[in-house]
Amino acid sequence: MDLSAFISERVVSGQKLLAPYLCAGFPNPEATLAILEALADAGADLIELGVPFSDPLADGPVLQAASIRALRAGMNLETTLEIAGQFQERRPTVPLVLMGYVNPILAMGRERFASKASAAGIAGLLIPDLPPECEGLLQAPGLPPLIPFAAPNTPIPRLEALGERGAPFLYAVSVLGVTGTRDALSKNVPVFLARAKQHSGLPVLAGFGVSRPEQVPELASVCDGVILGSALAKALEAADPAKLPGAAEAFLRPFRKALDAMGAPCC
Amino acid sequence: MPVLNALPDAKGYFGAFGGSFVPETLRPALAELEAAYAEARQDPTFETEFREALTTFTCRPTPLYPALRLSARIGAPVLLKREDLNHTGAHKINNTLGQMLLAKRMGKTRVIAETGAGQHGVATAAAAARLGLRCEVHMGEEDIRRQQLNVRRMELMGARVIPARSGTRTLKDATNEAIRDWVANVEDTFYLIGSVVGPHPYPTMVRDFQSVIGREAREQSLAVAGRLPSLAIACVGGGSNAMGLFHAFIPDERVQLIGVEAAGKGLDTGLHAATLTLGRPGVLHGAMSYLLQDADGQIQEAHSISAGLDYPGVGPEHAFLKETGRVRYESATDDEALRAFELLSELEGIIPAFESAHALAWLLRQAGQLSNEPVLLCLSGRGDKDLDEYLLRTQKEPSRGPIGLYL
Repeated sequence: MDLSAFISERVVSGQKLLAPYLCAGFPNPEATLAILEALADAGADLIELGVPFSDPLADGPVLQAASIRALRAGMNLETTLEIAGQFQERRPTVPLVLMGYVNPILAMGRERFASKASAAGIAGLLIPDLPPECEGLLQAPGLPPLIPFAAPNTPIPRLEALGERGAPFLYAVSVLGVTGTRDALSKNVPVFLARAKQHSGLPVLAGFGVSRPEQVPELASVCDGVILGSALAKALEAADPAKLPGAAEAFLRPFRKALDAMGAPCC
Repeated sequence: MPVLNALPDAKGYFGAFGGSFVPETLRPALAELEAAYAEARQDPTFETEFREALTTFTCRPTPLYPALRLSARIGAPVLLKREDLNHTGAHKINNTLGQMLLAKRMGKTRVIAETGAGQHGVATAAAAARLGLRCEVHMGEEDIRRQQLNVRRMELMGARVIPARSGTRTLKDATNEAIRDWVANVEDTFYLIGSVVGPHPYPTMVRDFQSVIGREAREQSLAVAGRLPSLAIACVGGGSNAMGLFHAFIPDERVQLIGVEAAGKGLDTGLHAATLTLGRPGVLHGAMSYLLQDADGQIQEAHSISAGLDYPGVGPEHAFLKETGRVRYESATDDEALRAFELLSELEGIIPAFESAHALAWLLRQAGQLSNEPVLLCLSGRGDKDLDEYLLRTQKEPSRGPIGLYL
């Protein structure tokens, strides 16, 4: 799927994007595909599928624990891509973005990874420890587009440069810090999101720290959508292991509702 | 071949190794650090402050000691570079003094560090106290338990020790936590890395601050022995004492450079820290280098009797020096290091750190096989900190109570 076209279509029509993150293999590998489908059915526009890693240094405690648990259950990049392929066959209209650290990809080998990822229908890549300057390390035929990150301290000239390089969207790390839920988001977040959007010219999805549907309107009013990671992992952790897809759906629906309630922009 | 000691390139690469693989939040901080360090290097005031600290706060130049009884055992003159005589007991202080001066110069109010056994943490706490900066040290919960003495030393000097509870709760995880802390507090916080690892410019900066070891040793060797050594040997965990020793000798092609890694219980047991010997290139903690990793690219646990060598990565410049063949990387097991620890104590009245004992162990394996040319070995630290572990491992009388507290 052409992720850029998919996202800009939504942006143009004023629809806000809802992008949940799920670490493959969490809480258990058998449930991953069913949880992905439940998320799609609950209104996810795109899903970030995480590849577990032993040393996830951009992640807070909740996603670290999810990663470790998935690894212990035997999840790896190879199996993650297999699940991605199965999901794409079942829900071809919901793009998957693969999120993971660079070392497991390097270990698979860049040619092999690019061809497997493209065969699995992966629409984009989010690699927190691979800056755009180092993209060459992964370049190979079929490699899905890399999605850049911006943080509140990213200088304006860099936002502009990221925009000029072009990407399906910009992942805005809304706080200085690692992933994890925050009860209160700083007042500066909307300012940053607006700045990121203005200077990159890219669609902007906001991640890191979003945990409650009430937080959504304020954020989404200045960007193009929100990413939910730790909050979903917490919900799954607390859920009855026999009812994980239901728990995922119940978690996501209120966010969908909050976004839809914002309606299309007036102009 | 590029001029080996002119590296890294502008992007922080030593050949294919190094670079800056960090989350976006850290990019501005690394750019700021790189600029501040480049500017400080050009400033004679900074150089003066650093030299002053090295002379008066620790005791540079450290002696080059002709170890006569050890020499007789080896069959070649052995010169020990006495980094164990530094303040806080190891070469670590050279780097912490340099970076702490830089942190102060940059107007940072809080300094964080990672530590394994606590040696870098202690050196950081000491340098922070000297300059009046707030200091917080991330240390694996497991290491805190094993290294109470160093925890107390850090606290006594005003540092706060933050337990790292993730992963294996050792150095690798303390490093992850320090990076996470830095990401969250990047505006007022300086991350003081303890070895030649991490994203650019750390491997270069730490090497530069440690390169005083090799510069002194080179001059001293010429003065004491009238010539350069045939061999220069150092242990390699992250590799800061080794880079510090090797750097000045890299252009001296006739000086053979040997880095000794920890083979733990044996290279074939899976329980070792021989990253360059058995690892593969990959990315961890901000740099491309050799790593201990499984087939899926997950980082593996390292094992060594020496907490300072117990790390699944290694400095990127070492990876480069390995690939170019300029440095030969060897290894020594826990048992060999223990025997070397005992032997140096008995022969020379010097108790070496377990880390340094690995370099000695390799040298002992060469006994009787070397020409009669001088051999230089970096005795990176003192071994008092390792006494409890030594007694435990050799099943001699176990320490009664906190023996370490009185060292």
